[in-house]
Amino acid sequence: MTAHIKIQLFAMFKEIAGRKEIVQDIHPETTLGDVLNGLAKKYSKDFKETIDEKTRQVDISTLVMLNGRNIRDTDVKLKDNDLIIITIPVGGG
Amino acid sequence: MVWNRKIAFINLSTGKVSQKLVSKTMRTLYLGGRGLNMHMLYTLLKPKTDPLGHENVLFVGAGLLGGIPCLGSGRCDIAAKSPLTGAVGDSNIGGFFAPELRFAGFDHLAITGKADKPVYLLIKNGEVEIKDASHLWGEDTFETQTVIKRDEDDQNIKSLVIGVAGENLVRFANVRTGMKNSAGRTGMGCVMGSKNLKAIAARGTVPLDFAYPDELLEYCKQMNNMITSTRWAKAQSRWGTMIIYSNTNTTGLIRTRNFQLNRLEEGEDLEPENIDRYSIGTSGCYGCAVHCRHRYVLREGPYAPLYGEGPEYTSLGAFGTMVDCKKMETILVANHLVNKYGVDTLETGGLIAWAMELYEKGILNDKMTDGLKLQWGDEEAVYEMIRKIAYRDGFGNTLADGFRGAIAKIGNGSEYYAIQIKGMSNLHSDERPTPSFALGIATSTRGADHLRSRPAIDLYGLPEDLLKEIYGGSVATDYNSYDGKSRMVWWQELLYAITDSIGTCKFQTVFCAVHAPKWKEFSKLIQLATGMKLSKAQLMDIGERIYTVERLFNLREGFSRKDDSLPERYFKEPTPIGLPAARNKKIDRKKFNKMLDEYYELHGWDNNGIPTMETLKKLHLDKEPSNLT
Ligand code: SF4
Repeated sequence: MTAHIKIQLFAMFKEIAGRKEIVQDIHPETTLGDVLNGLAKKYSKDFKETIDEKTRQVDISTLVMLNGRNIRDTDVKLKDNDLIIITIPVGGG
Repeated sequence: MVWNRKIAFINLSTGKVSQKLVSKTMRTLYLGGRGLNMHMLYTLLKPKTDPLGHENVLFVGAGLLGGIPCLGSGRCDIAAKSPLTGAVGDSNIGGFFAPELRFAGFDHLAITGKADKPVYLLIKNGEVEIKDASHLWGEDTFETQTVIKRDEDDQNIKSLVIGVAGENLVRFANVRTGMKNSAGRTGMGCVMGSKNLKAIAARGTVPLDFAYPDELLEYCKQMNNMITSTRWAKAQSRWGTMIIYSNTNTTGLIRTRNFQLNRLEEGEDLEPENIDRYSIGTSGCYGCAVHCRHRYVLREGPYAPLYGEGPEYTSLGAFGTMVDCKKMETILVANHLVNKYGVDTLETGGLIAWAMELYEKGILNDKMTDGLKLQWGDEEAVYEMIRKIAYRDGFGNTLADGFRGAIAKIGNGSEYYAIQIKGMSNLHSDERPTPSFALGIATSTRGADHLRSRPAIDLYGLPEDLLKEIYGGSVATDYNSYDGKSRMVWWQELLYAITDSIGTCKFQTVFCAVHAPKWKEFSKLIQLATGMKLSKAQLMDIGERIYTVERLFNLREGFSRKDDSLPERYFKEPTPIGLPAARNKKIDRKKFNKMLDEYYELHGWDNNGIPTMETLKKLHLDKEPSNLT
């Protein structure tokens, strides 16, 4: 069976992609960076700013959560059934 | 000068009004808004004052920067001893009232006594008039504002008003201005009601005499350009605070069915984009370039036609997740009802959710609820409970006294299920996976509350070096961690005390976003507006002074370390669902107590949370009336 991950998009990412959820096949070497770069290629706009060009980490103006935990390291390898959320860091109440 | 404006002391029992200038010393110690209000609350009230008695004083204060054209400078701070908690009563309201109060010649009002019939205050170009409001008694918060404008023949009047809930002394009645804005927390509308004070109307043309007007205008432009270019501001202006819901609900950070679940399953209709079905645009407060509020219309259904503004993320929780209602329309109707009657959205939703859990568990029954079936997801029951609370009708009369009063009446183990601290309801966030948030609601001087200290940026997984740069000490990146979180809470408490005292909007500081304005920007704005030079260190000292005065007030009223805690369920029941980082989490009592110790130390308070003499001296509070014995 092919391994796959789920990506949930919120805020402008959802609007730009025109969908909330993407299910994507992965192979054992797929990293978070691969996924974010793939999305940047496909959707451009704000997706192109998810990785900080200098540090190669997730840019602090983007919030990426892996299974509910925020993550900056784009080299992390993904596993079957991982859930990635891509949104913007914004608080309020 | 802009700092040298007046306080009006108004005695509603005698009708006497006197005026005094705010001294520069007071400005350098407390700035204005919340800071000056807290100083007056502490020094003018006698210990154990009855919150509903003549002696309680209602303070209304514009911020020191009220009226500048940036950062949402229309915030107004309203304070008194709280009839809900018996602790510091303090609530902050946006809109346009505070600048208008300044234009009318006043920065602060201190209102005492009780009128013998309903009255409203008209504050106009340096004069205060007490006017008959008999014809306004019984009117809702929208109509009251309309009638005052009509009676005074002036559409530019801005009013702070109460609705029927304030008249009926609901202990969490709010104060409102415009369609949207509420000073919701701690029952300041109840204090107005107890004084027979229906409204405070302001109108004026006294200029704000800024120190460096051209430079100030230029810097405000820069601030606005900077803010509107950010992604967080764009998101706020597109979806409002509801934007937070998608992430927090998916992760499992939202209390649902009171406190039984931490995510609303099938809650898609509450996603922020669904406001588009009803929205006709957004609006903002004075001096705001963000405009985070939706103006919405319900054109169909039993409650149509209905116009409202908002709703905030808190209302989404109050009338959505906490009571298990899954339709956006329910939120819009309930938001409109609480605004119309003038009750705090968050306290009302928290109490109804609690009552629903008690009903489910058999602690409440049909006989006790006047036959109303308080079942999860029943929006009609929610609407009816809102009405009953506002009018103190039947079971509504029990809930109208807040958690303390209702627990005393219902008994039978009901206290365990109440998600409240110091007598005030928490919002719908579930803090079990986030120790920093948990500490913040426990230590808040006004009871369970996110707006005193929430370090929302803890959720963003920021690099440790950046966190160190912001907070001035080591803070763990992981939001599940306890390490350094006391520092976050302490720092945010000081920052928000300053924000509330200069009268700008918290959404435009390090609440929403890490690079939003903070000390440096505040310092420059204060200098350009008033000529006062206050460094970051001095501003932090002022924040510390304000928070310590609030602490002293609460200690004097009998609060202590034991009140800086969480409902037992936080320690005993782990979160049942959610993504791995939020699932199976509860607060570790030992680690929580260690955080609390560290937090006290950062403030310069002893192990019991009592400010040390050294701290009092450093803050020039050693000569204030401590009355601790
Ligand atoms: S961001 Fe929202 S609450 Fe803040 S000043 Fe602007 S409109 Fe008002």
